[in-house]
Amino acid sequence: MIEFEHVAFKYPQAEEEAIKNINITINDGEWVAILGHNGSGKSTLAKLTNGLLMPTEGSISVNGLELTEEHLWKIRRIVGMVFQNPENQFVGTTVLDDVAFGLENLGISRENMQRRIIDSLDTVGMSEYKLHEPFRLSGGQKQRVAIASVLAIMPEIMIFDEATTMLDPVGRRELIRLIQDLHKSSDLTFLSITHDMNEAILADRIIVLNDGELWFEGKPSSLLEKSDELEKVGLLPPLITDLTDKLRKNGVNITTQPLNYEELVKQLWILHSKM
Amino acid sequence: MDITFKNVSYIYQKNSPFEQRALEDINVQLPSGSFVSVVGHTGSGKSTFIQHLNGLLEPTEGVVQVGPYELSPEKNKHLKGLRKNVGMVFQNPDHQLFEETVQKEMMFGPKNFGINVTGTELENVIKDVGLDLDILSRSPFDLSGGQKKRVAIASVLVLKPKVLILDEPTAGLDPLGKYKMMELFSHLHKSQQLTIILVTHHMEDALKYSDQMMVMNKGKVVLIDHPLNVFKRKEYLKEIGLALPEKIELIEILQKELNLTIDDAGQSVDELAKSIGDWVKEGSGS
Repeated sequence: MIEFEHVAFKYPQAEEEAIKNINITINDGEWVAILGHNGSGKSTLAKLTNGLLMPTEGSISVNGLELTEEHLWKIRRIVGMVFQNPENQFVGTTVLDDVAFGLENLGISRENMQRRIIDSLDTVGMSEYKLHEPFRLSGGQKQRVAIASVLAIMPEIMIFDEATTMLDPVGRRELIRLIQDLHKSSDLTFLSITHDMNEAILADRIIVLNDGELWFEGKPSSLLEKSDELEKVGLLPPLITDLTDKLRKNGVNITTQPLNYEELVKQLWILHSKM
Repeated sequence: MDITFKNVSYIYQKNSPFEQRALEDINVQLPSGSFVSVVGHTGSGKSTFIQHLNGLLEPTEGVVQVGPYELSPEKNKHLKGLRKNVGMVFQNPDHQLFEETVQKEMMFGPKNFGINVTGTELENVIKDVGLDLDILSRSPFDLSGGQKKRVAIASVLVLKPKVLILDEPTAGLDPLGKYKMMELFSHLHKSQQLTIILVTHHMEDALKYSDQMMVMNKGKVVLIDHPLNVFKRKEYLKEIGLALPEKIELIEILQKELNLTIDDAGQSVDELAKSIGDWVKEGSGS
């Protein structure tokens, strides 16, 4: 569980706070997506969660441990991070080495280490690439290796800081599917920071930041109900919502906000058959 | 400026064990004033292709012609003139920003090319890319990602290029920022007859903005046509690792699930909503 209480953060030379009085709770096993315009404070929020930054006001706790110098390393064992550019986190000459690197300082047996590496590469579907050079992989494959490296440490919380931003559409789709699968099959808590509305609406809950403040917190469908206000905070509705809005304007009475085309088609058939 | 590639090949590290053919016998003609999207899987040759447009790379074989400038394996004398006319915006603005202030950053290119830029011209470009004038005195490194990107574009536009090459220009921007940036390019294309070459993964943008789409695979140009025609080759695109725009996928779903007849993929969302609305109201009871 992650708890932010009255958290504010100001970068040393900045005039304004990047994060202002944030109060949020992320529950165990939950998948929360964080949206917001460039500079809204999303990445700052992520960096505060594992102590890459320390709050200038308020308090943060992870699994009951308050974020302080004393608990920093314990918290980093709990919170794993995957960044936008996987190249920045590669150190090994092979995929295997790379995943092993993060485990070397954890003081675990060689056997245990090997098992964790194999298991985590298996989970992300990259076992057959274990002897490949990380630099030669495609963007999507690199991100999967980065995820495996984090999984091997067996964190309880995973943060994806725009992990899908730089991927091509096919790689992005595969990565999102992997996150969905992990969410279903494990007890991991996910915090995903993204610009992709289609990705965000798959989460259990969405948080929208605007100029460092909490602008929205709730279910994806409730956010889409506010589609005409999204532009104000630098976002745009996804195509499904744009279409739903326009259907409503054409007198098609869609009552439940659809999150995908399957849900929309179902409602359209019901309306069609009632005519 | 018309752009012509005649039998162009490019080989990295020629005559070495690492020799790699990145472009293979490219023959394309891109007329002046067109908006061309270049798409292809990672490693398909897109970057190598665009680097030939302003002489960052010179062909190993064949001839590249950009307006009056010619690039061939032998003689390439007028690179400066070419680079003044062909502006390039990279994916990561950090790679092209280096001056102390935005103003200095923007004046670097003109100084280098011996072009005089008036204060008003400078201000107009800043406004064109959607920035406030007070940004001129700030350091480019203290700006947000979106602002940096706009500054990088402004410092290319200030040279008044005839051709603008954009390599994934909206990566990392928020949805509204992305939309505004694409609208800006579209506006520049229309109002100044700028030729735009856009390298993108966003099939939505390729469909919406370009009049020609060039699909690359393994160093070759495999399709070059209007986006609507390119996206008709669904199976082939999938085979070479490319996705369809969401709107075209949506139309497929409507055709399949509702038995709706929608043949033109160029329909707007408004038109789609109207067709679906009519179908719903028609009902099945009659």
